[in-house]
Formats: sequence, structure tokens, C-alpha cells
Amino acid sequence: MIEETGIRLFKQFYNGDDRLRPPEAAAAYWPDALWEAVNEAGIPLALIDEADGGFGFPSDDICQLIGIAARYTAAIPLGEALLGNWLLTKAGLAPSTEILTLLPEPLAMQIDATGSAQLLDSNATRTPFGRHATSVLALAQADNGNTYLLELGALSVESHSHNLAGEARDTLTLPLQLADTPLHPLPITADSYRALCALMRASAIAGIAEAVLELCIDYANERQQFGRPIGKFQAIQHYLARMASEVAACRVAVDSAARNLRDANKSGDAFLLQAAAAKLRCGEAAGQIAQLAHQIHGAIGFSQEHSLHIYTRRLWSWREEYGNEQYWAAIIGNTLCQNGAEQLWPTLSNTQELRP
Amino acid sequence: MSYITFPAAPSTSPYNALRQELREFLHDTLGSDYSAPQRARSWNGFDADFSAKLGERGWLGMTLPKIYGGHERSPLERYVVVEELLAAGAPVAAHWIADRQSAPIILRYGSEQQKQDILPRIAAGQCFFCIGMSEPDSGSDLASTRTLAEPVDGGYEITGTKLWTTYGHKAHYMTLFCRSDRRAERHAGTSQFLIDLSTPGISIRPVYDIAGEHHLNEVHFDKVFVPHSALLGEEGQGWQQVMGELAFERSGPDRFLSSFALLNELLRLISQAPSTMSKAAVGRLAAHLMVLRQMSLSVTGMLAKGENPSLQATIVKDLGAVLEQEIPEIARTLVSCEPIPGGNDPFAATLARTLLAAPSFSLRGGTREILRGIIARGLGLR
Repeated sequence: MIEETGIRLFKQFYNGDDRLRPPEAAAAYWPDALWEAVNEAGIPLALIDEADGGFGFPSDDICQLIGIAARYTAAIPLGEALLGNWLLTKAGLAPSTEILTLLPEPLAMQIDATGSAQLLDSNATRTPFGRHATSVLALAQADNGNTYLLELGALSVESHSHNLAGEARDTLTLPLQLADTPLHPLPITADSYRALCALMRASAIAGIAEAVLELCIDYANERQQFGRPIGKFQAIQHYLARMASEVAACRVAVDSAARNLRDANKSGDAFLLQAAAAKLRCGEAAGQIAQLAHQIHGAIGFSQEHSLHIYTRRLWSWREEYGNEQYWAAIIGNTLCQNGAEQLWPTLSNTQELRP
Repeated sequence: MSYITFPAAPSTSPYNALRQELREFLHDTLGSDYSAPQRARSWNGFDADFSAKLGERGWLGMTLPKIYGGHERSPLERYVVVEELLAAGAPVAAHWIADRQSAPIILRYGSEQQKQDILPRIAAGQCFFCIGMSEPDSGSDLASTRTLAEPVDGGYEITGTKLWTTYGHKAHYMTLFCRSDRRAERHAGTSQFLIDLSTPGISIRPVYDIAGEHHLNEVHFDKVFVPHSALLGEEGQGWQQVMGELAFERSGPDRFLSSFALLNELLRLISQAPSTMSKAAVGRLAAHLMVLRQMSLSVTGMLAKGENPSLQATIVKDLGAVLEQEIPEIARTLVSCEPIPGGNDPFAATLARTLLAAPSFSLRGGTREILRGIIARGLGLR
């Protein structure tokens, strides 16, 4: 049901003219009507746990919804809003109808003897949709070892930037003192936070990957050369087969991690490893899929005359965000080395509690 | 949506007790000096005693009906047993084909007599099978089979040659695919037979592989008489019956765990002095393995529901072979070590064994090219 609602809503606002907007203009553009519709449908609240007043939607359905929004190139911080509202309720706060975004990196914070807090950084770079956000959330790691959720409100933009897809990724100025910003203890580690964010982005990659596969199948069926659809040629068929396998791997990787999302902080390494595997697998798939898609589409896919580039520029952007494949590979590798070779199979099969 | 769906992978935690039993059994039976090169044989290690012990414990024929000596357990329970055996590199070759695919097709297509004769012995780990499909002139093009079972009085007379027959020299039976109507062509007029390999007229010749080992064989039929009771299923339905087998054959954890022993040795070595690069390389391989396992579990879930997830199984096999072949190539970039068969260095020996076996990962059970053609056809290309 949530899938159908999502498809209906995001399809309605999909605009093929997006491909005519150059990246800078795309980053500056805010889709008011789409955001209003998303807010009105209560979508940013969809991840909130039932125990905290939410709808009780399965977490893998929500990650699929992020993918649906991505399919229809909805240029809004949907993953950030969903995760942000979940974090707010985990910190015992009320959810928000603001345009929420998250700072990708946990902030370092010092708390002095009087309890007064100060951030060690003066700005935050690559903030998703930073210039459009009306409320910025951040995870702060204090020198006392605790993590806190900070509601920083609307922050001023120090400089504009965007990713390859033309989504705003701005540098925001952080407040020097946090006197007016309450510190809300949050039982989420910095690693789990990064993993949750990465899963949101992996969900988007999985969604757009499906869109690219569909584009390529349609193209292979329609485009004729040498008197037949190019999909009749074995080379093209094998490209599509490889692409379909990559798309399937993304879907399964995201679904597996997404199902354990609500246990992000309770499951030890399990959620972290699954989210890491999902972001890594989707990041690798993104590169493979983009390359195959451009090869199948030939010259037209390389031009602005065709919408393929809207999708592939997203694939190339999103695989970098919230940790690229190398980052998450290192996290997994570290865990495996720490656990030791005898624990390799138990770790991979998530059965460490049994004897090796 | 035109893509191929994988439903949510079922959890295996309800079967933790079973998994624990397996681990203890393997620890006790294989012993602590079971070496990495031995583990690297993966499912090519033949040990009739070991298979019989598994049968005694009720870990073969798990999904077969109890009336045929089985244990009526779910495909998911079987999956847990199989993945523990493979991860440990246990010597499962003797019963492997029989348990994985011969028993399911006999259950599905066999006569009552065949089911009662053979299934309990498979479940006991005492009846071994080989597959008679490939021929010298029939590899990927299975429908071009030339082996002919000519109907004669009381049965059939079979002439022809099967090739690449894994463990044909130690099997009791062969499931033979051949033509049964000499006037028919391609998929038409083919049948399957249950061949008792002690039947006169059958000669088996070893075919040594790249590692100099004997797993494969050439099996020649010289006017071999088999009775009507050897027919498996319906005459003329060979192709359809064989296609039904493939989802079982193609989806399991054997399709991505062939290089696991090497991955494990690689981790053991690099964790002694890990670098950023080596940790990330191993972490990446582990991530791929985790995702493939979820995909394979998803397929098992579909099999458990009585579905026929042949497209999904084909994807798992194709991705699995890519990963299995990558592992030795990556391992040798992280550890400066020549592959040395035998000898004292477990990593060098495991690397050698895995490297030599690697070309077969994308050939056996359906070549990469065939698999990708099947996936493409499943995408609705006109």
C-alpha cells in the first residue's frame, strides 16, 4: 500500500524537463508543490516507531519508498527527513514538519565544567539541500563520550555547492556557542548514525537502479539498427543480464539491512555490517549500472537530448555520499580482523552467538 | 516493473540449534587438523564414510517424505545444513548430486518402485549419483544430444557417450538425459533414465582435470540394455523434466562458497599485520558474500513455497561465479605468494587449488554465457 501511494505521488510530480535544467539551476530550484504534497501525506513521519506514535510501517517498506522517490528524481531530502524524524523521536522530541536535513558527519563537541557546549568546527560541508532546509539536525559526539542530537534550526549558507546530479550540497555556518541549543542525549553511536544515513542513500541507489534498468530494456526493444531491435544482439542481452543482476543485488542488500533498521543500536555489529554491505554493494552496482546503461544507449544517452544522464549523474553522486565503497569496506574489514579468522563464517552468517 | 524480484530472505535463527549441532559434529568429525587445502576442495572431496555419517544423523534427504526415508524438514533447514558443510569445506562429494538434485527429481517424476528403491538409500548417504548430460558434441547445447535410447523388446538399448561426468567412477546410478525417439530433433523426443552403473556394456574412463585430479569421466554406452523400469518420468518429456531440476541445482550456497577456504586463509594471514588496503579488500569480498547469501536464502524461501525461481537462481549462480573467481585474483595481490600445490604453506596450497579450480566456476552447471542469455530472456526483451 505504501508502495502504491508513493508511486502515485512521486510520479505525479516527475518532470522530464528536469533534464533541461543545468546543475547549478537545479540545485537552486526547490520543488514547493512536491514538498507540500509529501508533507501533507505525512511521509516524513513514516519511519517513526509505533511505540513513539508512528504508523508502524515496516522499515523495509520505508526504504523502498525512498527508492521510489529516487526513481522519479524527487529532488528533496526525503531520506534525511525520514531518518531525522526517527532520530528526533528517539531523543524524546516531537517530529517536525520543517524541511529537515542532516549533517552527514557527526560533530565534535566540547562541554566545559559549567555544562556549556561548544562545537569544534565552524562549518559543515556537503549538507544535503542545505540552502533549502529550514531545520538542520546533527549528531554531536562530546568529549565526555556521549552522543547528542542537536536541533540547529535554519543555518546560514557559507557557500553553495552541488553534486554531479545538481542537488544542493551546501556548506553551512555552525554556531560558535550552543548556549541556546539544548543537548538531547541520543542512544545512537556515531558509527550507527553513519550506517543509518548510508542505508538511506543505498535505498535511493536501489530505486534509481531499477529505473535505469527499465529505461535500458525499453531502449533495447525500441532502438533498431541493422534491421532489428538492438536487444536482439547477444552483446546487449548480456549487458542487460549483468545490469539486472546488479539491480537485484541492490534490492536484496537494502532490504536485508532495512529490516533491522529499528535495532540499529541494539544489535551489536549486525546492523552496522548489513548497512555497510548494502552501501558498498549499491555503490559498486551504481558504477556498473551507469557504465552499462551508457554503453547500451550509445550517443543519444550521452547527450542532453535524452534523460539517461539525469539518472546516471545521480548514481555517480550517491555512491560517494555517506561513505563510499572503500570507507564501508574498511569498516567491515576492521570488524573481521578484530573478530579473527575463526569468526569469519559466524560473522558472515550472523551467528556469532553460536560456537564457531 | 520489468525487473526480477527477490522476496525478503527468511531468517535462519529459528534453526540455530540445528546449526550448533552441525558445528559440533564437524568439529568432532573433521578434527582440528583438517587443513585449509582440504577445505578448499569444497564439494569435490569424496568420503563415503562421511556421507554415511551425515545420513545417520538425518542430514541427508532432509526434505524427502518420511515414507521414503526422508525427514520432512523444510528447504530452509536443509540450507542451514548445507551452508555449514560448505563453509567448513567438509567432504560432501559422494552424496552431493544425489541429495541436491537426483532425489528431488526422483521424488517428482519417479515411479513408486523407483522412489521406494532409491530414496531411502540416498537419505542414508549410501547411494551415490552422477549426471549424464554433456557429451563430446553436446555441452551448452544440451538439446543436440546424440546418445540414443532405442526402444526394444522389454526396454531400451542405449548407445552413446557422456562426458565430464563428475564422480561417475564412484556413483551407483546416473540420471541420463538422451534421445528416445530417433526421428525427433532438439528438445522433442528426449527422456531421462535411471541407469544402474553396474549394467553390462557401460565403460567409464577417467578424464583428469587441470590439477591432475580425477573427478570427471567419460561414460560410454555400447548397446546397453535397460528395462522399462529404468525410464524416469514420461517418455518424451526429458527436456521439461531437466528444466525443472535447474532451480535446485543453481541456487544453493555452493554457487558462491567455492573459494571460501581461500578467503578464510586470506583473512587469517592479513589480520596478522593488516594494512588499510588489505582490510578493505577483504571487507569488500565479505560484503559481496553477505549479499549473495541473502539472495540465495531468498531463493530458498521461494522454493519452500513451491515456487520455481529459476531466473532468480540463475542470477545467484552468475553473480556467485564472478565472486568466486575474483577471490584468488585479489588474494594474490594482497599476499606476495606463489601458488604451490601440496607443501607446507597452507595459504600457498589453498591458493593453488582454488586458482586451478576457478575456470570451472563459470563453466559447470551452465556456462556464464548461457546463464546471461537466460536472464536476458527473463527481462522481456522482444
